[in-house]
Amino acid sequence: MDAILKTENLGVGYGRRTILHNINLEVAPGSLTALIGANGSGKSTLLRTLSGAQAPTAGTVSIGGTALCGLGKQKLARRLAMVFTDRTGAGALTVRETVEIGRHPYTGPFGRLGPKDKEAVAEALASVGMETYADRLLGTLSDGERQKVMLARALAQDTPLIILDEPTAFLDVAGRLEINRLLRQLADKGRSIILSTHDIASSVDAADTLWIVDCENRHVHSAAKHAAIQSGLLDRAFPTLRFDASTLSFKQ
Amino acid sequence: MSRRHTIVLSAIAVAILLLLPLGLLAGGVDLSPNDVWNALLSQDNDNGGDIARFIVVESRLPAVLTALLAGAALSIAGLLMQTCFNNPLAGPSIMGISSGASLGVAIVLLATGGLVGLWGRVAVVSGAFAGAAAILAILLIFSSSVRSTDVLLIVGILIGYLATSAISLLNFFSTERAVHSYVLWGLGTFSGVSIDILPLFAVLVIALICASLLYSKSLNAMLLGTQYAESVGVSTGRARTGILLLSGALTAVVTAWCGPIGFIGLVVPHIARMVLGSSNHRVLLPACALCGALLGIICQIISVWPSLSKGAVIPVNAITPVIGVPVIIYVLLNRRRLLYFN
Repeated sequence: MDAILKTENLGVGYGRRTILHNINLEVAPGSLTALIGANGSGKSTLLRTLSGAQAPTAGTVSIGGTALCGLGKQKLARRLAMVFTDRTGAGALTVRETVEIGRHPYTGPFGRLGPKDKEAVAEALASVGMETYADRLLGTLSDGERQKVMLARALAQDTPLIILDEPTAFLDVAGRLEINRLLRQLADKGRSIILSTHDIASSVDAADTLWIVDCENRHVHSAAKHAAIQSGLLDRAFPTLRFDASTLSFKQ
Repeated sequence: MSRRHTIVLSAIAVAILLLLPLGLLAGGVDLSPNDVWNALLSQDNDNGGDIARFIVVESRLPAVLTALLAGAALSIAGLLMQTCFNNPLAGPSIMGISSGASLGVAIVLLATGGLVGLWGRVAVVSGAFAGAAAILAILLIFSSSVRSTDVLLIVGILIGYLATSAISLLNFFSTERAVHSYVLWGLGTFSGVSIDILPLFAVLVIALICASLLYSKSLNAMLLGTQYAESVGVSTGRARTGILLLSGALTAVVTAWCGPIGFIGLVVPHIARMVLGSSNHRVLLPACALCGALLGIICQIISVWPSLSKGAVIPVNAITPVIGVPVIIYVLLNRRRLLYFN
């Protein structure tokens, strides 16, 4: 099956400074990929480059067979949705209004929704179990509930690929497990998901593929979850630590 | 639009309609409702009603309509800036745009010794436009290289200080007459638009407000932050430029004819959000325009209310802070509970 996302000899960084180089990655349809690496290793820079928010220092990124640089913002927004860590300033939007923003790539200049758009919004809310919260203001929700709403907004965008940059950073254990469970469900239903995270145990447990940022060689390794664990590839993410496969956690 | 939103918007519209006749009745010369009605219906050459007609049609009606339009324009300008900069304290007067327009007028009035007549008015309007445009251009140049909206807001405030400093210098070196003309303009009034100019003023303001509605979709996406807005296909750089240009143009048009009116642009977006209970720009933009128009007419009525003004006109800038400051303090103290910027 054709890859949803593919990088060829990709270099990421800022200006002339390349942080990670020679990256060759693929994302299969309906797969959950966890991106793991130390703080400052370049995870967010890689995701920003994959999403087109910043230009690569070398190589190419293609989504659905089309080079990222050849896609306009609107076309890209129909192929790729994003979820970030940051809290938003939209506290006085209702949950439904927030999710409706996900339909922007499909609506006219005033953002008026048609029946198909409304159906997509309702489905997205139901997918994350937030349909009963639809008329609540975003500012009245907990961090975990807010992040589920942002995930629903990404689902309403109806893209084959969703990239999440540390979506569970401010969530408690229950919130993290809930988000990871939802992501696994979405992948099982055919969405391709890339997830950057520090929540190693639950994300490794949920993922199909691991992308491991190798700080020493400034490179990203890709491997199926079990292969990555058994080959000791995960140890490359944190050179001073050892990965314990029995607990799915790092130890000194 | 929810039922609550419809009720709120209708209630504000009704309040404006109720205050319109009061705006025509209020003033230094005592006119009965009948006098006002007859004056509105009378022709130019009617005998006996000339004075009443002049007061109502040539003076009060344009002032009331200018108050409605200017209030709506400044409020929309303030809302656009607050969303664009994700900052509850952003507004035309804070961002230095009003100061830029004032500097342009100061240069015209103070450097020429206080122009009068038609050409004087044309020069004042041109000066306000040029000043506001200059500040906008500087802000736009910075916005292309400065990513942080907070930094851009601070740059706007600092440029405003520079403009104020230049105005002080111009005042210092000018003649008494020129300073007097400038001070009068700076007090702010809705009586600066004559009945002949009113159609032009109205067309400009309404066209700019309609253009701002085109940004409602982008503004809603920008509430989620730049990254999210970009991810749903909004070109935030282009949108920010368009929004800044629109808010600058709205401010310049009003400042040119009415003087640098403070607080309306800052305070009305907060009032509109509170009464609506929403930040959705599809309803917030119309609500802001209506609330601004309502506040404009209230300020106009107070400024000419006989028992307060004793026949004179109280400067609008003496009234707006009395209404604006308590609202802003309330918003800042209850920022978390109000949710609008959380």
